[in-house]
Amino acid sequence: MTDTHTALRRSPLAHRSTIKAMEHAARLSEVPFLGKLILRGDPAKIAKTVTGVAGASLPTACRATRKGDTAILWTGPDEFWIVTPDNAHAALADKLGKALSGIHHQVTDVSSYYAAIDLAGPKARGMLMKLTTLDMDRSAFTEGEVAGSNFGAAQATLWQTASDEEKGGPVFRLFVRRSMADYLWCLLAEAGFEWGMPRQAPLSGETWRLER
Amino acid sequence: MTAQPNRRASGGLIDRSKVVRFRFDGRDFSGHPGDTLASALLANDEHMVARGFKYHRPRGIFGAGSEDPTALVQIGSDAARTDPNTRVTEQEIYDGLEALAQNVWPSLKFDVGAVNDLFSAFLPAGFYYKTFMGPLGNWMAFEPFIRKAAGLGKAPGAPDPDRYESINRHCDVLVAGGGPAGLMAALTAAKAGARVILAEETAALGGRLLSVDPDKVNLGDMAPTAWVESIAAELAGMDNVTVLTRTAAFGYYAQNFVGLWERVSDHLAPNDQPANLPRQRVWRVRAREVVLATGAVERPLVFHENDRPGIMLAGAARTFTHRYGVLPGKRVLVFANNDSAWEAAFDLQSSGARVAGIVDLRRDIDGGLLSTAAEHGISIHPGAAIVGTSGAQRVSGATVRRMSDSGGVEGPVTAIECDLLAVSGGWMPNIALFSQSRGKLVYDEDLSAFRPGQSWQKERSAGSAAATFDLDGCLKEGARAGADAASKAGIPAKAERPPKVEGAERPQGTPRVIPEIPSGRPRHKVRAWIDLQDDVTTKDLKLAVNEGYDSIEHAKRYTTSGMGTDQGKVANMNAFALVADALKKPIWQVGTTTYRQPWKPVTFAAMAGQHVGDHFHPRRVTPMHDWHKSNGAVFEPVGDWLRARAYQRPGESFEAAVRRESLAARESVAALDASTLGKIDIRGKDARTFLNRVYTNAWSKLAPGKARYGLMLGEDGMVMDDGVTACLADDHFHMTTTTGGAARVLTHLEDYIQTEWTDLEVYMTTVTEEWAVASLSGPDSWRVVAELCDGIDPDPEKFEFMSHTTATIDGVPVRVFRISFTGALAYEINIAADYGAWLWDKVMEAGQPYGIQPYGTEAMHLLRAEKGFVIVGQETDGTVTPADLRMDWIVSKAKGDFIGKRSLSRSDTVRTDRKQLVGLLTEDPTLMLEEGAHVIATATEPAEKPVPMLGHVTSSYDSPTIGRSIAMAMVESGGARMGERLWVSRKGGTPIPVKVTETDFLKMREDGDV
Amino acid sequence: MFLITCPYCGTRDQSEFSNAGEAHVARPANGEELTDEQWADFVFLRNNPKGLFAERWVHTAGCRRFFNMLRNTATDEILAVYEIGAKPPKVTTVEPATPSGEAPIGSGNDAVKVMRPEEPK
Repeated sequence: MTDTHTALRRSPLAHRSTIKAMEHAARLSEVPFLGKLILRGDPAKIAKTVTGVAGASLPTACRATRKGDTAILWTGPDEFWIVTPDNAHAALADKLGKALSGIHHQVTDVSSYYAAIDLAGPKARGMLMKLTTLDMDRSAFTEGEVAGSNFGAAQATLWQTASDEEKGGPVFRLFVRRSMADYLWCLLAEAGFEWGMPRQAPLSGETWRLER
Repeated sequence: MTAQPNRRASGGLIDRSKVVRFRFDGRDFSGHPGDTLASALLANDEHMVARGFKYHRPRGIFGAGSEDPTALVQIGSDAARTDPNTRVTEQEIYDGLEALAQNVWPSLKFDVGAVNDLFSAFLPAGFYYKTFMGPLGNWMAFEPFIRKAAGLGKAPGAPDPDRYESINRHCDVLVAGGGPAGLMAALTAAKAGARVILAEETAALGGRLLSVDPDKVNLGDMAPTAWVESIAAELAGMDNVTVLTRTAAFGYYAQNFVGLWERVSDHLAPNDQPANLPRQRVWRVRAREVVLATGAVERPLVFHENDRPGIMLAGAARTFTHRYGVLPGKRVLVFANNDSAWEAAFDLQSSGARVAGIVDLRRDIDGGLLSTAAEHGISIHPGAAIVGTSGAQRVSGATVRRMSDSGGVEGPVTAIECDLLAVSGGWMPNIALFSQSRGKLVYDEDLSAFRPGQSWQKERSAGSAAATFDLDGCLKEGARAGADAASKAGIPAKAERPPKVEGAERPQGTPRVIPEIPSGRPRHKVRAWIDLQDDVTTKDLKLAVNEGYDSIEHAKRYTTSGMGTDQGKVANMNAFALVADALKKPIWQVGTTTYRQPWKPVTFAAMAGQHVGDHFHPRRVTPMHDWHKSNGAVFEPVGDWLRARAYQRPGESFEAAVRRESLAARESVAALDASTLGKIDIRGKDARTFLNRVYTNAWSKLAPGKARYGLMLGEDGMVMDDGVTACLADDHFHMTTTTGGAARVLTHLEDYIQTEWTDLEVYMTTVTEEWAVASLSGPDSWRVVAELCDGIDPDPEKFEFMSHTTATIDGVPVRVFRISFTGALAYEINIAADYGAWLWDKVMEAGQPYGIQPYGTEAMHLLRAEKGFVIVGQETDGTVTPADLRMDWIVSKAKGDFIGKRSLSRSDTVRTDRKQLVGLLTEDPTLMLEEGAHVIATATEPAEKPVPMLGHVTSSYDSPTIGRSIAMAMVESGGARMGERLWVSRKGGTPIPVKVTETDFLKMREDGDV
Repeated sequence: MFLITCPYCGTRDQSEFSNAGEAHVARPANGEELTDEQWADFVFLRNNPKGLFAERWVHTAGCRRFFNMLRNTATDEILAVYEIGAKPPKVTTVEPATPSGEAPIGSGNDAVKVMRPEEPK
């Protein structure tokens, strides 16, 4: 596809722009148009081929691996996410399909399905604690860790992409269904309100606020 | 404004340099920062703060913290922020605080409801049960009055404007309670490097260390408060420690899941509350190990007229004296059954009160205590009891008699004047959290109370919570508990050395507990309160036992003892002892009532946290949502989705919009946002075999490029979902499910693949939202598709029904299906969801020459009903087989087993009198049936109830295409009733006559049958 | 809320999981040969013991895998998790003496809230 085509797209959170808490405490932004593939297959049978094609090796449970711009996330014992830059996924899917022919597997393009939200900063952990039962302490959830869980009432996959030591604090990436992305965005902003993040009204326009 | 006559000159955690002004019961008062409402009112010599629940008798401040049963007030007059049942012993004062007395009319000091007290004989235990076991009329007659009289305080009258939050935290060691044991436990675990959370219910750390005379007690050469501050500072300096004050551990749940309730800014004036912080927070803590250092509460004594304001727990009197710098009485009479109350008496005397006497149920008193009493010049009454009290709105005196050997009282009556009656029945460990953790309690004969016994979860109790009452022991036990907890959590730890304690007073010794202290009065004239909040007296409990309520759980409910907002924190033990006494059973055998979460009242708002209003629940929206919103869409929730129901034009009614949209879908072209349909990518060499087993029809021969409708059953043979599945390649399929069934179907299919047919090579991945879908319906739909798409000839003559192909729109790939849920010529265009909004614009643009209309789910429902298509969940309800839908054609007889197959030949599913799906046409074509209405066999409803019912209407619409109303219904043996005349009940009218028909109304119209 | 150790993802909060009913109930391959009663036994009837129970759970919010669990339903003690297809491991637990009896500790029920004097402290 060409640049003219990419201009026609609308990412799940295109109506939002990056918001920040005070004093760089936290930053919330969408990472639009990442390539995302779900790869199903028995790791014992596909690992070598996948590494050959994608570069990164298949991660162990609840971890992610990276090679250049491509990351592989473990999301289940026979399920992996491959995250690529914009538009790189289609060719990769093709190559994987060919390389894995004859081995039982499935490669599915979910680039449009899931929104990617980056949450960065020293207060990111504190914000996530308000949404998930995962242990978000820095000793418990570390760089390269991946976990599927509930965040508020939305299921999402959480991945720590940058360590706490790096400038700007830890960075967490959340993959969430595009239909739930706005809900999660608003809930994250609410969690950051304590540190000065602006509140966000939901896109659905529907509210349960009691009014008389 | 009064001048705080009871304020001591110095001491306590209050700031005398600042004055805080507040109102109570319409009067102005002043206090200081650090005061609770209770301490500030007592400083102003106000003891009476409320009236009793049942008898409206004056009620005072009985405790000094969360254990207080009865000093409840309403905070704030603002309808949105007012808070009922707030304990004055916990509410801190701030400038402008307004507190109102509850349960009083017209005023606290003069209350009409107090006449109940004169009729107390008519409000016995079980009053409600006895009154309302009779005919229903009784309740009808009493209800309005009961409702008015019952309950305490007023609920807010407007939505709560404050923010609340919940937060999940994990830790190695959670310490509940910030007294001496809790502090040592937290310090030990923290120093070892454990992640520690220390939760203290009150505003300050220190626990009972704040209630002792700082001139007498020293810890490591420091005054108690100085020592507490040094530990607090040490904890604050460690980043592995979270110290939470004003935070109560309210619930101990499975696997060390403990709920904490933090009152973040309740102690601040609304204008001073930090705008960025929630008013309250619930901390959902998952702890590896827990230390329960929850302390102990003092036990009241049960004697005649023990309920007047000015009667207070002795320990509470000391807390007011030392923690808050308030002397709650000038002339104090002490009534005791243990040694610690003597220490209280000496303490109050040294603090400036005059102790008018110590009355002790015990005859033999320790020599040391006797000599100290003599030094203080305090008159003593060993082996005696208080047999009555006086004073209207504040205790003014008590009468004392000697106890006889037979357990009664004898001899002369001595009257003693007092303005404070400090009572102490010994100390009881706070065992609520321990018992919630499902540990087993032990009845301790020396203590006459329960203490923690066998643990079930990963916790240990320390300090007075574990019945260790001496200060040195508390500190040591706390340190040991902290070390044990950290070590068991995997962080080796050594108990911190506790400070050397000097000047500690003696613990309580062995209290002498008498379940009901004799008064020498006739039994029916004794009024001795067990539960001050619920107004339960000894008489009530004994009556309950007499009437056969010999289980403590039943006696509790019959009398409401311990059922108030304090959950009987100080009352319960006395209730257990009295019931045991009445039953002549040992107390361990009577047992306890169940300690349930929450341990203290937690606001619903804090429980709901941030998940309210805008954040209550996710509303899923499609990529086209913005367009719908700006084009007059009325939305409806479908599962979690928000779908456009109809697009109303200005001035147009909803019904008119639906008619217009449905006509466009029949006569020209209309577009539906069908993005919400569930979609599953299925791949593997056994995919066909799998489809054969999960659908009722055959899939072996479906060629790539073709699609087929399928019905999915549960093993019970009942329809659970339906949808169209397309063959993309021999081993690759694209399945669609209903919008609401998407997640359920995927789990159902994964269940079979993962657990039942593990030999099948099939992978499934949800692609529901990868694709945005525009569904075009109507004779012109193919022209719009032709205009839009490259690489496809959608001419219905060439592009067959139930086929699909790839194409492009301006170079963007799409997949086009020729499938129809309306019965009209229809196409579905699937595009990557990032392009969804763009696709919709393109569709509207390309359709404009043909007068394209968007149509919503209401028109969609109408259109499919015109064709007689079912909606799973509307026509079906989990009890409907394919045959019941008269869709036998979709059940393959030839292929092998499939889910639900065997159930279709069960004796129940082959019955011929099952309800079956039919069409219903009203004889009057303008009449609309009501969905859910009953179908009956007679023109009038038979008098005998229940009316025999043949079935019910499942769908009903006004169809502009058919030119009349149409309906579908599930009717007994419906298939055999074609042409039959039946009736449909309606509320407030005679049944409507209808004709039973087939369900394909479009075909009937073509055939001229309608 | 329990903590459940998913055999694939590790220990997580119960809210991530869904219960999927009794474990080790194989779907009869010969349904057509079974009587109505035999078939109904498979479709409708499940055990619901007070005490040790093998049940299935699925890690809904995580890896979406089904797995088996041994749980003491009287006390909610989770004794083992194991993969689908595996046999239940041997475990010991505090079990009620009779179907209507109480586990000696852990249920929080009336009969076991308080220790009897003869019980070892």
